[in-house]
Amino acid sequence: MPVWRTAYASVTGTSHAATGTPCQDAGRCEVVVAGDGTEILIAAVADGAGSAAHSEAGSRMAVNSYVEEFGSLAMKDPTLASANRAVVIQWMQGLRDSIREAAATDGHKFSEYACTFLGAVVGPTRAMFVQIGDGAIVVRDAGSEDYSWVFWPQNGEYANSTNFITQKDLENAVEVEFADTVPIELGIFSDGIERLVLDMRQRIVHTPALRPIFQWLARTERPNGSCGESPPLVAFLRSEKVNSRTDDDKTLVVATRAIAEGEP
Amino acid sequence: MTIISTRIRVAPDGTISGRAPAGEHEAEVVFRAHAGRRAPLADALEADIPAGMGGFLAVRVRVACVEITLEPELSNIKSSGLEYLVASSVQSYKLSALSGQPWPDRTHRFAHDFVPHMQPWGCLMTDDQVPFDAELISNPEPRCPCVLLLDTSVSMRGRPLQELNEGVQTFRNEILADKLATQRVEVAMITFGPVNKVSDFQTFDHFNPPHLQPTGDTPMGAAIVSGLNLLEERKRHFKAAGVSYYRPWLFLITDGGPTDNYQEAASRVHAGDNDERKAFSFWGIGVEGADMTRLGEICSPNRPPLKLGGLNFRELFVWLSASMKSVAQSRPGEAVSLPQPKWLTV
Repeated sequence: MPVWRTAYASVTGTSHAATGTPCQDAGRCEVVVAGDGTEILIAAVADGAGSAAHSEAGSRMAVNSYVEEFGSLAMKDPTLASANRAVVIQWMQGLRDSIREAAATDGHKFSEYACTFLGAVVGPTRAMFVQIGDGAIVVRDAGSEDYSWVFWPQNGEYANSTNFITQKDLENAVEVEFADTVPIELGIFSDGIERLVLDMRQRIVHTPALRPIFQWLARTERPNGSCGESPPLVAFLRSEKVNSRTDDDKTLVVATRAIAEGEP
Repeated sequence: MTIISTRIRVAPDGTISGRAPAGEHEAEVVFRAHAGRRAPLADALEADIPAGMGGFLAVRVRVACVEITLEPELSNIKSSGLEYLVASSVQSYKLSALSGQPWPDRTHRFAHDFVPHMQPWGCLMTDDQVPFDAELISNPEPRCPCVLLLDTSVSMRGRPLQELNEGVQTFRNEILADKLATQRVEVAMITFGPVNKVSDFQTFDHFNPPHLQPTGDTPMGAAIVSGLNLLEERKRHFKAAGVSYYRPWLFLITDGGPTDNYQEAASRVHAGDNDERKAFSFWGIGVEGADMTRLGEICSPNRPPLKLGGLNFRELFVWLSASMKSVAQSRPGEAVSLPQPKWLTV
């Protein structure tokens, strides 16, 4: 019986659609199975910087590289005992090298691939979270009714400033956290929907915005494993309700193992 | 025939908008609906889905550059006010049914906001087909504070002050014409001399600038300090209330030179407006007769004072409002592009 049910969607913001700019967000979510049958969830979201010409390529590379790197780590070591901050920084430096190579090959500047990054790996006994930039990873632990954020969106003093994987002081900006209490639900989203699901005044997750999505997810019969875009989630992100409130690209990855809670 | 993929949006007012390039296309739009019940596909479209038909109702839409033709099997869909945005290269399009008469023939001009960009269409889902009801939260809009520091000394009397008054009105009108900027841009106004806080920070829907009259001398230093203090207080308020904000602007307009000590003003401007601190952006604008040397001592070396050509306050405030709009809609990683100032002395 599979443990995780997952869904993701990435939708171009109305302002980007209007100018013909591609969706600069990327999202992915995979469940890998280790040799002993253990399932490990790998999820990532990246949001390309608006004025960086090739940021959609940057965010795609970041997300794919993370899933490959930590997917193979988790298959070998489902306890995630070998994962630590240094491993994450090393991966990110490697990613930057690959982006530099791609940029050099295509005659572009490294900084034109600027994007934020949010990633999670959730094994049966340990979870790892990584963030640089805005957007957020939110989790719910067994026994809790509410969702909580792992890192608050990194915005500096001003609403229009944040951190990117291409910046110089990368190591200072990257946040990495490990948890021995593994969440039963996990959501990752880009800044496009940040203001719709986070209570900025109280600095808390607005649970009623996410709970119905996870309850729906727990009820779906979708097989887990590699997940393509989920049409209902796409419909949600394209709905008037969402688009009337944000014109930005938006990506949402959700995963639940609270399946019983979704059962009627 | 090409099968194109794009997205069609059904708005609550019945407007359907989709995008397709010019040329011959045929596309299939899939409405998801539950069998055996009347499915509200959108406010404008309703269909009786026969029991046993399954969960999908396929709607074939042929887009033939200037014609959208709906196939006869759609005759049980009732329409009330439909619009398709199809191509940029044609001037009008026609909506008609191949057989049956449920769709009146209609010809429309294209809406002005047609966007010549393609989006893959997958299956169409309207808001009421999202299988969950997320209760989204409303957060306060991020704010974009702007402090106007206006010289109303006696030398400004006559036309300069009249043009300045009209300029401030232009600023108000330009911001109010932009919905997002109206919610986000906050203005405070301080005149000198003597230093007078005419209005504290407020969004433009509450901003009613009074008619400025020529008054005393030019205590520019005190006015700047007062503006900076007002700004710091506003930032503290934003932080306490969890309101995010953009880098504030202070916008000083003068036709003279400071008649008071401006050392504190100058050192605070230099300390706050530089590439490291970025506490605000301080703009010094000199009208004909202004002491540009001393204004230059006050302004940050990164942002030297600018000289207004003649009494072109209107262009100055049009530029200021365009700049504020640009800041107010900027997002992380996007450079704020300021419009070209056309009001400068050449």
